[in-house]
Formats: sequence, C-alpha cells, structure tokens
Amino acid sequence: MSLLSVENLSVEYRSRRGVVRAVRNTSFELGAGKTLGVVGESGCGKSTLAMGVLGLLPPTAVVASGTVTLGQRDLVTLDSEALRALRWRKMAYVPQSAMNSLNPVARLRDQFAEIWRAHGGGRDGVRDKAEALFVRVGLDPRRLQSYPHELSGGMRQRAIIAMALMFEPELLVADEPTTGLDVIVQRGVLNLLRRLQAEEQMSVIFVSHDIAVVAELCERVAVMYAGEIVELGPARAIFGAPCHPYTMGLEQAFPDIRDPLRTLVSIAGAPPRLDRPLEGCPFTARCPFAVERCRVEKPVPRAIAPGHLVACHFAADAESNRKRAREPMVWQRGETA
Amino acid sequence: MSSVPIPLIEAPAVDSARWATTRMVLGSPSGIVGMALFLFFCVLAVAGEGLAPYDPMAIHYLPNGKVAQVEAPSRAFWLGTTHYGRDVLSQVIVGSRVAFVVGIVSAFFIVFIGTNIGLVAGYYGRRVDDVLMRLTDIVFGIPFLPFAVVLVALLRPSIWNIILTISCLLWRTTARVIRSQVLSLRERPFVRAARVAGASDLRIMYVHLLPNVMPMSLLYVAFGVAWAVLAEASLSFLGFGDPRMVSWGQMLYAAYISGSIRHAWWSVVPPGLCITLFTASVFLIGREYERVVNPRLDRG
Amino acid sequence: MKFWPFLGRRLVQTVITLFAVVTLMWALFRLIPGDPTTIFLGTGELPPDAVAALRKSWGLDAPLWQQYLDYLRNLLTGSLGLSFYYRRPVLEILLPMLWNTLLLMGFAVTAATLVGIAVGSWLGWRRGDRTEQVGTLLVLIPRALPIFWIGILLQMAFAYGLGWFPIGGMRTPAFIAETRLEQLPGYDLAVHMALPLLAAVIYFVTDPLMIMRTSMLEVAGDDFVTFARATGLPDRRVRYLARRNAILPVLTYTAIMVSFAFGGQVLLEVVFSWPGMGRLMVSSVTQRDYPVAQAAFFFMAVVVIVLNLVLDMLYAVLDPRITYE
Repeated sequence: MSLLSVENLSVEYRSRRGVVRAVRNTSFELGAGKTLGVVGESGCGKSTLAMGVLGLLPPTAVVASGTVTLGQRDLVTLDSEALRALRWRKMAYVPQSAMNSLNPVARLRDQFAEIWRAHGGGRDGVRDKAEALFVRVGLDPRRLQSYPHELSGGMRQRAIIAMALMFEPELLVADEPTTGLDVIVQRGVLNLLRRLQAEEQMSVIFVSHDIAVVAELCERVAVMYAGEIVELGPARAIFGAPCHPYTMGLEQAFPDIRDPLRTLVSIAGAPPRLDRPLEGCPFTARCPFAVERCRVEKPVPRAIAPGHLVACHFAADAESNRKRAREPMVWQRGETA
Repeated sequence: MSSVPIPLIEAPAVDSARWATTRMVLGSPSGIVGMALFLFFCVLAVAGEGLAPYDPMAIHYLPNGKVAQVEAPSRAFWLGTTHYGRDVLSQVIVGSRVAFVVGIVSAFFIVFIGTNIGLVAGYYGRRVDDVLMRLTDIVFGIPFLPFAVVLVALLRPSIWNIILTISCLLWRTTARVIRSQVLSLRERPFVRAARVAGASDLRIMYVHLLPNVMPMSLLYVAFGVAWAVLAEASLSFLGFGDPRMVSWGQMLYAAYISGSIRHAWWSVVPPGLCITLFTASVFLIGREYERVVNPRLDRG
Repeated sequence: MKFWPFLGRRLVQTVITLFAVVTLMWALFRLIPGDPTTIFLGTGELPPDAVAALRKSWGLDAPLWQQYLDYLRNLLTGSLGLSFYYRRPVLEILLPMLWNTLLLMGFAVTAATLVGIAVGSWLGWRRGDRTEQVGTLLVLIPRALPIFWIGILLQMAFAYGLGWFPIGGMRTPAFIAETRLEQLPGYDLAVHMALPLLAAVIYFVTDPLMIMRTSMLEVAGDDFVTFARATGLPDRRVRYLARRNAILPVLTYTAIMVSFAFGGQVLLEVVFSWPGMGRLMVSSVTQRDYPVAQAAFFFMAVVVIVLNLVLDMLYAVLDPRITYE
C-alpha cells in the first residue's frame, strides 16, 4: 500500500512569451517508509517535480494535469487551508540552502516556536521538543539561541532537518540537501538522514544530481530527463544494470572507484528546449542507439522487470547497449545533431 | 582602422527581433489601444489647422457684438469657447502639434544624450565612469520642475528653450539604465572577441554594443515622450509656455488664471483629457514593448 | 563592520553634490538677463545714480568671482541675503513657507507610499488572475494624468461644485469653530489639505505601487518564502515576511519620488494657493527676485540630496549585504 501516488503529473511555467513544460506526465509510487531518489542533470525538472508534489510551486508555475495522492487525498485539488493543515505534519521539506530558507532575523528557537504554534501547539512543550530534536541531529541544544548566520553550513542543514522532524512527518522531501557542502560535512548529513529515516520509518524523496549520493541512500531511483521520468526502479538495478540509454550515459559519466583509470564520458549536446512540444523520445538527439522511430514515437514506460520501468523502445536490448555504452566515442553523437 | 577582419562572432542579430516586437506589441489589447490613440493624435497633429473648424487664435463674437466668452458647447462651437472667445476644439486640435514636437524632439535628445553617456561610462569604466556617474548623481539631485522653471525664465519662454530644458535634465534615468546594461554586456564573448581582434573602442561601442542596448533606448524614447509632454504642460500651466503657440498646458493656464474653471468645464476637461490620453497611449506602447524587451517582467 | 567607511564615503559624495548644485544654481541665477534694478529703471522710479548706489549696496557691481565667494560665505553663516522684492531677509520670508510645503509634501509622500505598498503587495500576491491584470492596467492611468489637472478637477467638483472643501489656501482667516467636528484640533488645516493631498496621492501612488507589486512577485518565488509556506505558516504571516523583504526597493525609490514630488508640489501649491515654497519660487522667478528664488531652489535641492543620503543609510542598515562590498 503506497503512501504517495503520483499519476501523470505535469507542471508548466507560464509567461507572456509562452509555456515551458518543465515536468511532463510523470508517474511514480512511494511506499510507506521507503526512499526514492530523483536524479537528472540541471534543468531536467526534478526540483519542479518535488515542488509540484508538495504544492510549493512559485507563482509562475501551475500543475497542468495529474494527481498527487497522499494517503487518501489528492493534494492538487485540495484547497489551501486543507493543504496547510497537512504541511509539516504529514509532509516536510528540507531545502538545498538553509541559509536562504531560514528567517535571518529570528533566533532558531523562535522559528521552531512559530511553526509549533502555527499548527496549534501550546506555549509549553516546544522548548523541550526543540532541544530533543537538536540532540537527535547532533547539535548542541544551546545553539537554539543562535541566529542562522551564526551557524556553519553543515550545522544549518542539521538544524533545518531537526525542524523538519518536528511532527514526525510521513513524507520528507529533500531537495539537494547536501549540495554545496564539503565532502566531509556532506558525509555527516547523509549519515544523519539515513539514520533518521530508519528510526522514523519516513518515506523520503531525495532529489539530487549526484547519483553516488542517491545510490547510497535510496532504495529506488527515478531518472529524469527533459521533464520526463525515463527510468524508474530499484537502485541496484538502475545503477548496476541500467536499461535506459540516458542512465547508461550518466553512469559512465561518474567515476567508479573500482576502475579509476576508466575514461569518463560526457554526453555531447544539450537537453531539448522545454517551451516547444516534444514529439518522440526527448533523448533522441543525444542517444547513441536512436533510430528514426525514436524521433516520432514517444516510448511509453514499460516494466521490464517487477518494479522496474523504462521508457525506451529498445529496453529489451539493454544488455548489448550497455556494452556499447562503455565506449566514450559513442556519446559524441549529440554534437552533430 | 584595423585591417584585421572582425571575427565571425558578431553581436547577436536584432533585426528579426524587431518584427517580432511589432507583432507582439500589437498582439495585446492594451498595445492596440495605445497604438490607436497615438495614431489618432498623429492625425490631429499633422492635419492641424486643416482639420480645425476655426483659426485657434481667432476671437469670436456674438451677434450682439460682444465677445463670445466662455460659451457652452453648441452646434457652432462643439467644445465651447474660452474666456477670450476662442474655439476650444480648434485649440485642442492644434495643441496636439506642440505636444508631438516637444514630445518627440525632447525624447530623442533625452535618449541620445542618455545612451551615449551610458555607453561611454559603462564601457570605459573606472575614472570615466566615476566622473560621469557623479555628474548623473548631481543631475538626479536637482528637482526637475523647479529647475526647469528657473531655466525657462532665464531664457525666453519659447518652445525650443522648453525642449532644451527638458533634454538637459531628463537624460539621467536613461544614462543609468543603459550603463548597467553595458556593464553586463561588456564581458560577453562577442565583445571580448572584437577587442582581441583589434577593434577600436569606438567601433565596439557603436557597432557591437549599441545595437544591443537599442531596445532599451527605444523604450526610454517612449517614456521620454510622456515625460516631455507632461513637463511642457506643467511649465505652460505655470505661465512659462511659448506665448506664440497653442498648447494644451497653455489652454489650462488661460482657463485657470481667467477663473473660467469655476463653471466652464469645457475649457478644462478637453485639454487635460488630451494630455492624459496622449501620455497614456505612449505609456501603453512603452509597457507592451517593455514586456517584450525585458521578459523577466513577465509574470502570470 | 564596514558601515562607517561606507557612511563616510557617502557623506563626502553628498557634500560634493551639494557644492556642485549650489555653484550651478548661483551661476545660473547670475546669468539671468537683467537684474532687479532694471525693474526700477524701467518704471522710471529711480534716477540712474540711485540705481548705481542700490547695485553697490547689493554687491552687484563687484566682479563675479567676488560675488561667488561672498555668496558661499553668506551661505555658510546662514545668511541667504535680502529679497529684492520684499526688502526683507530671505530667510524670514522663506522659513514659514518651508514648513507649509514640508507639511503638505510630507503627508502626500507618506500617504502615497503607504497606499502604494498596501495595494501593491496585495496585487503582487495574487497570481496573475483577472483582478491583477485589470488592476495593473488601471494603475497606469494616474500616471498619465497631469497633477495640476487632477487638482483643478477636484477643485471644480468638490470646492466650486459641491462646496465640501475650501477652494484653496491653508487656513480660513478668523476661523470660528462651530460644530463639534469643527472643534477638533487641526480641523481647519485638514479640510484645507484634503484636496491637494488627494491629488498628490492619486498622482504619486502609481510608482511605489508598481514597484511593490513587482518586488512581491519576485520575492514570492524566493527560497525564504517557499520554506515559510512549506512549514505551513498561515498565509497572512507568509505575506508579511514576503512584504518585509519586498519593501526595500520601494524605500530606495522614495528618494527619487521626493525629487519628483517637489515638482508636483509646485503645481499643487499654485492650483490651491497653498502658501508654500513652491508657489513662492514661481512668483519670485517671475518677479526676478532672485535671492528668494535661489534660496527656495536651494532648500529643495538640499532636501532631496540629504534625503537620498538618509535613505541610502537606511537601506544599508536593513540589507547588510550592501555594505559588504
């Protein structure tokens, strides 16, 4: 029984000059207590997807179609008061930059208190709660008196994670929470997240462009490209034996500690423009295995194994494609397209 | 001049953008309204006396020999007469000519001076920029109308002095805006490439940078027309207008000091309405143009 | 703390600007063809040698550079000279007018800014729906209206027409309060100020409104606001947080607005016969009473320049990023 079910979600940014379809027809399910990673390059729509699920899109964006079902309710159709009641209690959010997200002129303990009160909490209890949360994330409770800028980057992320746990939410959406932190601090925060997830049995959606981080933390992974989910499945399968050419390219682009001398690949070309309608498979221009059919017929995500969906006409040839994918030259097609 | 051919990394083409721009401005209801109003006044200005039923300066008399002072609108005088017995409608029509001349000529100067100063300051930077920006700050510190009053009183009140006054001060906003645009364009590849290829400063500024800041300049032409028309109207209202010409501001001046505002709405409403509509049309066109030129403003 | 050097630099710039403006004005006024004595010569009131004596007493016969230095010296000691027209010290004539002007203008600018912020933040918070589009268009109209025409129309409708408000001036001479309402302190002043204030607000509200609206739209997508929404804070609170951040550009604009406000002020004072510096300036220019005109203009420029400085400092305090450059 899944906690979160997203069906055919599409998000558009609207302006006088046109419409940018940042997320197109995405669907996935997330079980209770499970973790899902969302990976893809910059601009692929992963953050927009996360914001769309949470209902936190900026004024210029709208959910064009689709449903987001949390528990029994469709979040897209909920009115703002009902949605607000769910916020933080059922679904929490950990942003990329705590510095940009926290109120710079209020002490941390006051920020805790404000959220507490906004959800009907009484005057008492918040102090103890905040202190306990800080201890849990590895921060000195005395730090609650500080202002956000008085803490280091890693400490701020921990503080904001502590805030997110306030009501023991069922769903936690983390949007690049460790990007920008140095590797050691990153390690600390990731370990913390993993521990907390296990303790709380929260469902987590973890958005990142760093597949190594996602591979470590998430049971399942969704790979996004040009606003679409091109591959979705267990992390081991996706990174061990990717079936979609883009995932193969991503994998080849990351260094592997087992093969340090391997030449890294960069996929030539650039993602397609999202302000025009896209026919066919979005990856056609850069895909080493693309044929004419790919340009005109959009591949529908199909299961090639239980719980493993791939949107590619040639998913069946995945094994041989993987071999070819190891050749760096194969990825230079995009240049001439 | 350099004999080395300028590299192929030319400034991005702007011509195709211009047609798209015209289409986009006309594509919205407010843009169309703005254009329509503006053209309406164009026609009035060009036709001028030809369209007017009477000579705007002619004094009319009643059958009994008295001056047709402050007559209400009638078949003979569609918008009535002024305190001095002149036909309001004719004056309003001819007044559009002054508005046009002052508006467009001033706007041209405002943008000409402002763009050049912005280009030079932004491109050369440092000392030159400092000096020019100090100058701009000083000009910003001077309240416009009081200064304009002094200048126009200093020189004789004539339409060219009014244009000169307006141009002398109102270039300041354009200069600042163009300068900041140039600052951001300066580091782009096409500029650097041109520099490396040995293009002279003048060439870089006027052949490469200018076409790219042109859209912004044109926007300020629109605003400049609006500001200039309002400025001229204000100056005329205070009594510093060109006495040889009929302008809408002057009509209001005459109406006010003669006390006809007490009951003669027809001598007050038409000229003011014309100023408003003319200025509004220019603002509308400018606003639609701005949306095209500056997409960051596209919201919703 | 980089604040003090920043303040120091700005102060120096301000002084230089003031100095430049003073010099520019002085030079301009000296270029006015004819000096006040020509008025008298023209009317034949005074014989030529009396005129020469007058000129000497006014220092008009000294070489230009001498006049300039004298002027600067006088300025620094607070003496603004004698009015040619009124034969009294300029300061004496100017000061009461200055307060009158600042009173009206102060209320006008404050009211326009507050209304602009309120309506602008409301418009900016709504996502581009019909009301917002219509509202934005409507707001454009006051910008095209000449301020003096707004004033005249209000005068025609509410003073001459309905008689609800006085036609002009600042006070009713020998005012006797009769009803309870009239006995409220400031009633007479308020009634006189109502129409010019309304005209000023109508005219000046557009810019702060549009700036606030644009600012709100931008801030609404900021991380800070997104997070506040995410934590489930009530919409009113999120709007408040957004507004506090969005207000900064409006504050910077206030300095520019004051500069334009003087222009509007001059026109309104003329329309409503408000005994202020603007009206005085216009009449003194026409009368060639240039010490008065010069001083009036000087005051206006000083207010604008000093206000610019104050607002820069305020902005630096509110947004510490500015000083850390």
